[in-house]
Amino acid sequence: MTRSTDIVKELEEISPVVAQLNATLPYQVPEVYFETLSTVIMARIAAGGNEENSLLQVAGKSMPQDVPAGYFDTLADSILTKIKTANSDVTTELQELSPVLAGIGNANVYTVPVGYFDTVADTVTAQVKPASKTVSLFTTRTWLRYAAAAVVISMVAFGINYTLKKDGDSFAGKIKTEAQFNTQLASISDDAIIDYLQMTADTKDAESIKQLIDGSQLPEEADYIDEAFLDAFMKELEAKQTN
Amino acid sequence: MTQPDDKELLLLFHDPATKERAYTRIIKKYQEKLYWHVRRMVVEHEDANDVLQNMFIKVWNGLENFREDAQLYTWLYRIATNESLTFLEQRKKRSAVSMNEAEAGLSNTIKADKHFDANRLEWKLQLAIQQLPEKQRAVFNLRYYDEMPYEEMSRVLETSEGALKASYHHAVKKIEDFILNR
Repeated sequence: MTRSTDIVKELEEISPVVAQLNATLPYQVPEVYFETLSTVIMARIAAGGNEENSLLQVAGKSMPQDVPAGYFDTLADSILTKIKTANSDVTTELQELSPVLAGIGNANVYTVPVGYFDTVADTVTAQVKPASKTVSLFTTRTWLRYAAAAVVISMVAFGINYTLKKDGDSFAGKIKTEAQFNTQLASISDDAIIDYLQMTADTKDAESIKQLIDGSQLPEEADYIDEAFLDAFMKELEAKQTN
Repeated sequence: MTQPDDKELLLLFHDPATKERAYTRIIKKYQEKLYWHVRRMVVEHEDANDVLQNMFIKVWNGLENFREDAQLYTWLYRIATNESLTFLEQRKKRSAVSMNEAEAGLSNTIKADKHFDANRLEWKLQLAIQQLPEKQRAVFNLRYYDEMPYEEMSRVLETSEGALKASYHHAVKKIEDFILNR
């Protein structure tokens, strides 16, 4: 590249380093790019300047191939004929394999109760629904857990104590001390206590339990979800009952 | 083949019978110069192609009203420069990148070129040019590669000659620093 004298002189005054550099651009251009550029641009202009693929616009939409005369008029019939032929192939195949089977036909012999298909969706849904009931029990179950812990400890303690006093011989050998009683009580699972209450408690019992419980001491409903919190509360409750 | 005179081409362009043929000749006359001017700004061929085509389509729409008080190629250079600067600005906005990130992006594009050779000074020069602000990059390119006189450059960039000389001086110094110290 032959540089202008003025440009070179100016560069040498500012920076001899830059003046020594090769001014050739290292970028490449696709082959025949400049040969076709004007055609592409004129095509885009012809297409209104907006079409990216305006060469297609210029070429037009007419297809160079011909369609046979009457092709679309007979297309539907020819497709149906092919379908029937395919079906008849199945019949022919069965005839060849077993004339006896071919003669029986394929009518359905089974019957279905009236209105069966109208109700099957509802039936299935109803069977699935009970699973959600276990979710709704969570809050009640947890509340009962607390109530059971507080009340049953008292009731059972009273009951056992009473029984011990009433029939000292029967229980004398088994539970004599409060520690033994607590050990026995601790071995009863929460689920067993809850199940007992659910079986034996009625609305009146629930009300009695509610009256015995100081609601202000109970955790907030949201806290019921935190198992660690529940366990800590249970221990606190048990400690209070023991004292 | 001698290049047709701009006045002659414009006359042919204003005649509906010869308009398209004249414009094709205008494209062929200036396509390479304008392409490389755009390419030096935007780096990638695909981007340069987009900018160049959009630029020529704009010129087709605006050439009817071209007053001929300026040289045709000065006017074409102005449109090409503005299209390139607009393209770079829009790309920066689309990516929500800072100026530094945009420069880094173009530098990475250069390095991604399959012919890139970090040991060759002409590639290092391209990396140096990309670290210039866009308008200063245009000043440097027009002077260094196109050897455009400041008087003409002031019409292309619509900036005073004094400002352009100062800008070019600073651009060369920055490039020297990049070549020597990076």
